[in-house]
Order: sequence, then C-alpha cells, then structure tokens
Amino acid sequence: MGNLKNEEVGSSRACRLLLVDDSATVAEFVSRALPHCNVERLENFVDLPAYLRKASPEAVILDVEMPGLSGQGFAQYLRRCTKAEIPIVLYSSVDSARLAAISDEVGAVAALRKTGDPAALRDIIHKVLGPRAIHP
Amino acid sequence: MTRTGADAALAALRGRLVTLEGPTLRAPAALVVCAVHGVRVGVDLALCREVLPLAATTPVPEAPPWVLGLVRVAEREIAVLDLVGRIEGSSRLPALDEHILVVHADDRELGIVVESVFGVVATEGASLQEPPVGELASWMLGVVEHEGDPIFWLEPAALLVDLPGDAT
Repeated sequence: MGNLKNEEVGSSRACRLLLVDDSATVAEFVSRALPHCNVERLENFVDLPAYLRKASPEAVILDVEMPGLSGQGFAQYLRRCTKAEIPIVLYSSVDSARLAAISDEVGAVAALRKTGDPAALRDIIHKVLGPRAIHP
Repeated sequence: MTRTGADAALAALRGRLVTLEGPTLRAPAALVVCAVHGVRVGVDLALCREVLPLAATTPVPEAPPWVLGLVRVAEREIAVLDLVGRIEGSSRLPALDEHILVVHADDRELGIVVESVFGVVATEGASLQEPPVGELASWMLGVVEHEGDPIFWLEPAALLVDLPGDAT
C-alpha cells in the first residue's frame, strides 16, 4: 500500500479517499488535485482486505484498467470485503462509452475520464462527498 | 529504457538550468499545458514549435515500440514519441483525437503524442516544487503550481535518453 503525502496535512476531519491505480504519477496528480482530502493508494487488489481492516474510506476512486484484476473485478471484490456501501468513482482513460457501460455494471456513483483536468476531478468528488472534500 | 541513465541525464539538465539561472530553479515564463497519461503536463513555451493533429507516421525500422515513427514538419522529418507506450513498454495505438506537440530538444526537434492540449498558461514567478514521483518522473523538472493546480513540468531533452540515434 502506498500512502501519499496528503495524509500529512489531512486532519481527522479530512475526507478519506482510497485511490486504486497502478500509476504512481496519477496518484500524485490526484493527491495534489485534492489537497484537502486524505488520499491513500492501493496499487492492486491484494492489499485491500488488510487496508479495510485499518481504514474506512468515504469513497473509492477506481481505475478500471490494472494488471491482475479489472476495475469491475475490484468493485465486486470490494463489495465482498466490506458491508459498508462505499461509493465508487471510476477514473480511467478508456473511452466514454465504455466507461459509462462499466459504471453501470459496477454501480459506480460517478465516472470520469482521465483528462488531466483537476477541476473536473474536484467537481466529481464535491458531488459525491460534499463541500468538505474541497474546502477545509 | 534504463531509468538510471534517464535519471542521470535529467539530473545533469537540472544542474545546467540551476547554473544558468542561479541557485534556484525557477518556473518558466509560460507553459504549453497538455494531458499525458491522464495528468497535466507542461512544456516550456519557448521550446514548443507547434501542435499538429495526430498524423500518419512513417515507421522507423528497428525503433522501439514507443517511437511511433517519423512525421514531416516544414520539410524535416522528426521522430514522434509516445510517452504512454514508453511507460508501458509496448506499442500503443493513440486515439485519433490525440495530438502531436512538436518541441525543441537540445539540438533537434521531437514530436510528443499528447492526449489533449489545454493551452498556454503564464507561469512567471509561479511556485515550483520538487519533481513528481512515478513513471513520468525521469522526464520532469518539477511541479509548477498554477492557480492552485499542479502542472508537471516536462523537459523534452530528457526524452532523448535511450532514443536510438537513427530515430532522430
């Protein structure tokens, strides 16, 4: 599990987000785009049970193309690992039509293409978690 | 590619910039901001020549899969690199709505495949932070903060490391 530096600035009131993405660069970008969130990262599904024993993320930002287990598979695994209904936001480079189809399949609350636009990411997280995720 | 070689080359570039600019590396006056690998990346405007629609490229024999090929720009053939393919170590077919950013890299020109181009932003005096971690790190000089948002500052010359000579 890779923990990003936002944890250092995150207070107990900061929104806790789990980012599931095999890209360290994307993880750093998300962390910087959401400076008021406590962003933690898993590179793959293997560490999920151990992570959930220690943490209760308020939302999961999920890439759908990862080695080992697809985003769909991860979403199903997440549902099995926890009784809590954790909102899933898909965040991927796949085309919009495919992303929408996967979003329906996994019951994601939102889906966003990775366009490198931090404002778009903040808008989505704001809609999912409210203003606390954007403003301290 | 060998990260060690790329890291050493980038360290040398950073050192050269520090020498030119004094003790502190500063953000450039303006960046051409685009999306690469799903993140915002900026290239010094002074190094950018033009943005082209993704054009058919002429394959280069024996070139690594991330060298898409050559494209003709103003009577010159320049190599087009796909950073995502380079990161993934495989050949990738870029989407038709992607672009080629033509940049100066040392004494030559390169084309870089970018997913989209946001535009030019003025970054004179902007806050400059340590280079990002991750798979793009070897080509980055730092992170420029523009209106509170991060732009990963790409140094095109760092892309020349490990690039076969006959591809340029």
